[in-house]
Amino acid sequence: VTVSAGAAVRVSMESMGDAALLLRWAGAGPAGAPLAVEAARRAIRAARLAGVVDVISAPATLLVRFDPARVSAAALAGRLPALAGGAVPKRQPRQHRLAVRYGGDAGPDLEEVADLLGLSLDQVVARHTARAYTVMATGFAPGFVYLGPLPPSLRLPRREEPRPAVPAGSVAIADAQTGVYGVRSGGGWWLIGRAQAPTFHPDRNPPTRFAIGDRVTFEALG
Amino acid sequence: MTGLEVVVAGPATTVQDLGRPGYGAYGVPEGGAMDQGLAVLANRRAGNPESAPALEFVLTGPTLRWTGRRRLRCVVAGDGVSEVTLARGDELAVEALRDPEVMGARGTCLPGGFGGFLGRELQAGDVLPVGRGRATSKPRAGERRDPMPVDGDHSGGDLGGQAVTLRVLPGDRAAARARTFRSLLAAQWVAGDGNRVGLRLQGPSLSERQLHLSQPIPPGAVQVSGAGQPILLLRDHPTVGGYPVIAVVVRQDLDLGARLRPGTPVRFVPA
Repeated sequence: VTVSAGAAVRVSMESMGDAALLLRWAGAGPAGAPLAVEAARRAIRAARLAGVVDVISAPATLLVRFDPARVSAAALAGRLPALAGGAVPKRQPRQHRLAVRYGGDAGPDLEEVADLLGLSLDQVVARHTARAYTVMATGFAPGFVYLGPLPPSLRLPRREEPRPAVPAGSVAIADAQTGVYGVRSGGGWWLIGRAQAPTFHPDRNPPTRFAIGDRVTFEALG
Repeated sequence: MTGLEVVVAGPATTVQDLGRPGYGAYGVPEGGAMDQGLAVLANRRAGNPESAPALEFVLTGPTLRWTGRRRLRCVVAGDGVSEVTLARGDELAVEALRDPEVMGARGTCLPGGFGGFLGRELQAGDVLPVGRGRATSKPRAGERRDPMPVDGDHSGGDLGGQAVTLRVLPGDRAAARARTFRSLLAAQWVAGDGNRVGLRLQGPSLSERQLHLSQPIPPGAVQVSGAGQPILLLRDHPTVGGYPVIAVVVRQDLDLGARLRPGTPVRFVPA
C-alpha cells in the first residue's frame, strides 16, 4: 500500500512479523521525515484503533504493534494510510534549555574528543553549545533523546568499545548526532558532559517532555 | 516491615507482570514476564487477576522468608505447578505482590530502572510487600491470553539442552532480505549469552546490508549485527535499533524465549 504524504514523500507499509506493521517514509532525504512520522504516530494513537498496543516512531519509519487475536493485519492496514498520510498538524515545538556540566567526571571523553578533533576543550564546549538542536527521535533506551544535526567540526565515529554503563543525564556525541541518556544504560557514544536535571520521569505521563521536532540548547555550567 | 524477605536472591530474580505496552515511543519496551503463559497460569491457580505481578527467576530461584502473621499461599510454576502454604518463618517463593503501578504496570523495567521492586533485580535483605491475595491490578480491557497447559508445553520449565523451535515471519524489506531469511531457516543455531533484552545466536555468519537510519523494533526480532551475528531480541529489547531485522518470532512463541539457555539448540521455522 502506498499513499502520498505531500510533495515527493511517499509512505509505504509492510508487515514485520505477525504483530506489527511498519510504515516507511520514502523520499524524505538522509535525515528522514521525523515531523511527519511523529504526526502520524499521534494521529494513529488518537484514533484508538482496536487491537493496537503501541506505536513507535523513528526518523523515517513508524511501527504499529497490534494484537493479532484482536485485529487482523489486513483490517489494520486498511485504516493506517489515511491516518498516516494526513497533513502534518501545526504543533508548536517546545524549546528546552539543558544546563550541562562538561568534562571531568561528568564528561569523561571530553579530552579525548578534543584531541581527536584537534580542538581545545573550550572550543568543543563552545561549538556544542552554539546551536539549537532538533529532537530527531526518542527511544532506544528509556528516555534517550536523539538530537541533530551536530556541527561538522564535532563529528566522530562512535567509540570502538561501548561502555556497559553510562550514567543517566550523560550528554554524548556520535557521528552527526548528539544525545542525552535518560537512564543509566550501555552506550557507545562519546560522553562530553552531564545534564544536571533528570530528563526521564517514569512516574509522569508522558515520561519525558522531549517530543520529536522540539528544539534543545545546551548551556555550560561554569 | 513484614512481607517476603529475600534471603538469597538468585541470579536474575525480578518482579514481573504482563508488561506495559504503549510507551515504546519513549524508549520503554513492553517488558513483562518472559513466559507470560506461565505467569497467567500461576496467577489463575493463585486466584489472582492474570496480570498480577509475580516473581520471575532464572535457573536457581530465590530463597524467601515469610514474616507475616497470616498464612501465605504460594504458587510455584515452572517444572509443573505446585502450591505451598507458608506460616511465619517459613521459607520459599511467591505471588500476590503489592508493588506500585508505574506506567500502567507493576513489573520491573530493568532498562529503565523503574517498576517492580525498586526497578532492579532482587537482592538479599529486600523485603517484598505482599497483598491480601486479591491484587488490585485489573486485566486490561479486551485482554485475552490463552493459558498454557500444565502438562503440555510447560512440563519442563527449564529445558536446558533440549532444542527449541521458534516460528518466524520475515521482518521488513522481506523481498530484499529473502536470502538471509532462508539462511536463518536453514542453519542450526545454538543460544549464546542472553538475558531479558535478548540473546546471541551462535552459528554461521549472516550478511545483510546495514541501515542508514535507525528503525523501531518489535519484540522477537532477529537482527543481524555488522559482524554478521544474529541476535534474538526478547521482552526488554531496545525499542529502536540500527541493525536490519531479517525475521520476527511470532507473538505466540515469544514465551519460548524464556527457555533458552547458553547451549540450547535453536531452530527457526516459517510460520
